[in-house]
Amino acid sequence: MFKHLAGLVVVVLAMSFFVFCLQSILPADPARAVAGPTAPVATVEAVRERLGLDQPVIVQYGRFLLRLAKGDLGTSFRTRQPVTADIGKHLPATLELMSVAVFLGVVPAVALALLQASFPRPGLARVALIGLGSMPIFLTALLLVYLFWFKLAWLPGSGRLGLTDFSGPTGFNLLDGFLTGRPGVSVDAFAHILLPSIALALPIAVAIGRTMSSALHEVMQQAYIRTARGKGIGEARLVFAHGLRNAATAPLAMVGLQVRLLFGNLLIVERIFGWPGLGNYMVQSLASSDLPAVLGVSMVFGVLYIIVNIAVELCQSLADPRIDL
Amino acid sequence: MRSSCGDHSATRSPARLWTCVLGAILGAWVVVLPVHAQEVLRIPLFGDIGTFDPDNGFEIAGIGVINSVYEGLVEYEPGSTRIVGSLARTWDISEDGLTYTFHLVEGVRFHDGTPLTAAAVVKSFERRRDRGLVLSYFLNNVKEIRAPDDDTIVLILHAPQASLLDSLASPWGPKIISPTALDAHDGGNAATEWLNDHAAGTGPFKLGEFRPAERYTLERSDDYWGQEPFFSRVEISVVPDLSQQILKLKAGEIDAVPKNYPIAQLFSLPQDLEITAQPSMMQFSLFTKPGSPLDNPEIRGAVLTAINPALWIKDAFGKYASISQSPYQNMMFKPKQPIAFPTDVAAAKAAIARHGEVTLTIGLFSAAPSYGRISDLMMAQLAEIGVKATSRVLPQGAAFALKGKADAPDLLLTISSPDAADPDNQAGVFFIKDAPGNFYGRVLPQADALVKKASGLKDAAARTALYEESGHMYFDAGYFIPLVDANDVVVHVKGLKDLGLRPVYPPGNIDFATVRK
Repeated sequence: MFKHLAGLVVVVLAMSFFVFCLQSILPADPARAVAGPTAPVATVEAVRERLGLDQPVIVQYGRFLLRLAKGDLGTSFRTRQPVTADIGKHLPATLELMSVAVFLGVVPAVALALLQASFPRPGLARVALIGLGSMPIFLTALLLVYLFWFKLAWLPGSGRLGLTDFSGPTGFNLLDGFLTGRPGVSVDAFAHILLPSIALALPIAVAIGRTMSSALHEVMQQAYIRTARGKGIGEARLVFAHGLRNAATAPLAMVGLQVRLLFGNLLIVERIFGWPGLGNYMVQSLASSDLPAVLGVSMVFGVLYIIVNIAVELCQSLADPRIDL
Repeated sequence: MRSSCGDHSATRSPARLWTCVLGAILGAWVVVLPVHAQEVLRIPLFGDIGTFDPDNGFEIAGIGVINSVYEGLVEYEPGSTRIVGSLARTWDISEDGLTYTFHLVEGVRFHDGTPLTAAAVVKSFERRRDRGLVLSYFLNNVKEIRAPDDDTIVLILHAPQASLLDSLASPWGPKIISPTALDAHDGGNAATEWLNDHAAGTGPFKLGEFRPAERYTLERSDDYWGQEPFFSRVEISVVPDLSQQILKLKAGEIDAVPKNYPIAQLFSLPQDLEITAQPSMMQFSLFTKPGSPLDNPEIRGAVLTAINPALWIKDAFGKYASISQSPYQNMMFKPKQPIAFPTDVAAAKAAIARHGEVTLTIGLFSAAPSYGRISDLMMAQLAEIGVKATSRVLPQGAAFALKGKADAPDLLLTISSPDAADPDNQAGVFFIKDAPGNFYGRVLPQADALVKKASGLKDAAARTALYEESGHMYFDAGYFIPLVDANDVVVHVKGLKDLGLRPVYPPGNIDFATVRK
């Protein structure tokens, strides 16, 4: 575990240094972005000085590290707010969306794999899932919006909550509705989160489903399974008690990989669904050359990725004791 | 005997007359009040309002929202570049052009109840000029700000500046903030932190909710000193995706798509939608790189023949644009001699043939669809005369770093749009030496001298003549090629009127004070 935590620190530092270097080679000028396109050169230079962007990159990086040690990620050029405050505002929305998306991706994936293990030819479901999962994410998202909101009016097409007067203690609306005794809020939040999370879940479901299915198929051909089957153990018990656990390693690794892809997809899906999360915040920050914000969000995504992968490895070691942490 | 209000033959008793009057008042009350008092306008924004501080951010899409809460001394009249009073009732300019005296409207209060006084104006102006805020440059030329009495403001300039009123009327020009709020929230940072997401102005609306990435709301100010707005509430939602905005408009969830509605779809709108279009300051233009093939006058002439906007304006914009008549926007002044593109295609072909293979690269300022549409059409025309042109979208902000770059594109397609309606602002932002939008850093001292001379003149006709002449010089030297002035096009629900679009504002900035049903 210590090894992983040390890795986390190294990755975060390396990532922050990479983003700083990127800033020095990109043509975008954050000072110009702050001052506006019509500001005279003198104003832009004054802004540059005020933001400390006139210093060499290594000096800027050193200052950043000093601030980071105090938990300060700097101030966003765009929102003029501390980046930590901005992240605190947007992170719950993204975490909520990610959690539901991973859940909606993993559950049908496991179900599909089990279906395939029990009934060897569930071709139609597989083809449908692969078809949907192979569509570009922006197209899936737009199709979902068009069909389920615009045409059928079954679900909301954008935003996080229909109610305007709600603010919960945790920032997770699905939970806060129940915590504050307003279950209607949770229901409304669930309706809002369904379409974006389905858009994000489809590629996850396809990737994990296929990996799980192959792994399960391979496990179910093993000699010990054949022996157990010969002893008269039922097929369902064979799959659930022996097959799933032994087939879990590869799909768990796939979950870790999918989370990385999920970060990229979040930028697209949050934008299309107007979801007030970190993805949306990142897109706007990139467009404004808002380095502190870009850096902050990159680090949060980096930390999340590492945490998810530590969790994945923990699960893998639980599923297969031969895997050492 | 019939008994009706309109029956002149009826006996007219005072009681009946009063009944009729009361009936009419009650009828009007029943019909008008619910509509007038509870109307909500729903408008989308593509992104967040970075800061609500009118002095400390160059907000583009949200500037109309900010200016519904804050007011300046003067403003542009909707639909024109004429400057009219806002918080200043009248003003006088001294003979030497150095002293501007403004007389304030009486009875104005800020949203926090503080009365508007000349001292409040001085405090706001000094905050903007002296506290290192982003938009301080609007007052760079103001030497002194005085309040000789409660209703009078005097600005004394370092040097005559004929465009000063435009700087004050600019959407980003100085606005007046409650001095009580400034004192209470100063916090050693000129209240910039508090004013990021709070407001205390004098405008027709008060800031309600400020929820970045979600929504902003404005509530009608009941104590507003001017004409009461029609809408009691404006809900501004953040909808980053254009397709979503269009679907929401069609589904009746919002009342307008303020900008970027695809031109091709404007001709087949559903029956319950309509378009409001106004000329704007959005001039699509080309900047040329020194050392490009266009330095050769013969090639430049041939290329101008091919990219003549008359050949493609309809395909690119339909009826929602006009051909630029000068490097200064058509809304700034009408030139006596508009610039002219050559039209002899055969001669252009022959000229290119004489020079062997001519290739051009066109850099697009951004990935916005309008740039791609224009460059595609121009490239097709260039191919007709034998020029091989390619285009590429420049990375975010890269246009501001093209100076001296050998691999910069030969032409930069961009929108030149100044921050105020005076030609001095256009030249100061795009043409003269060291102008921020002089993307290739080209210098034409003779033309710059005309601009400088014009900026100090009081005689409007003489100024315009000098600017027109300088425009011809920038164009003839091949530094700058104006193409089209695009309209500000808002698609909205039927019945929405008086959108108050102003040419100087970025597109889609509806005036919530004037718009009504």
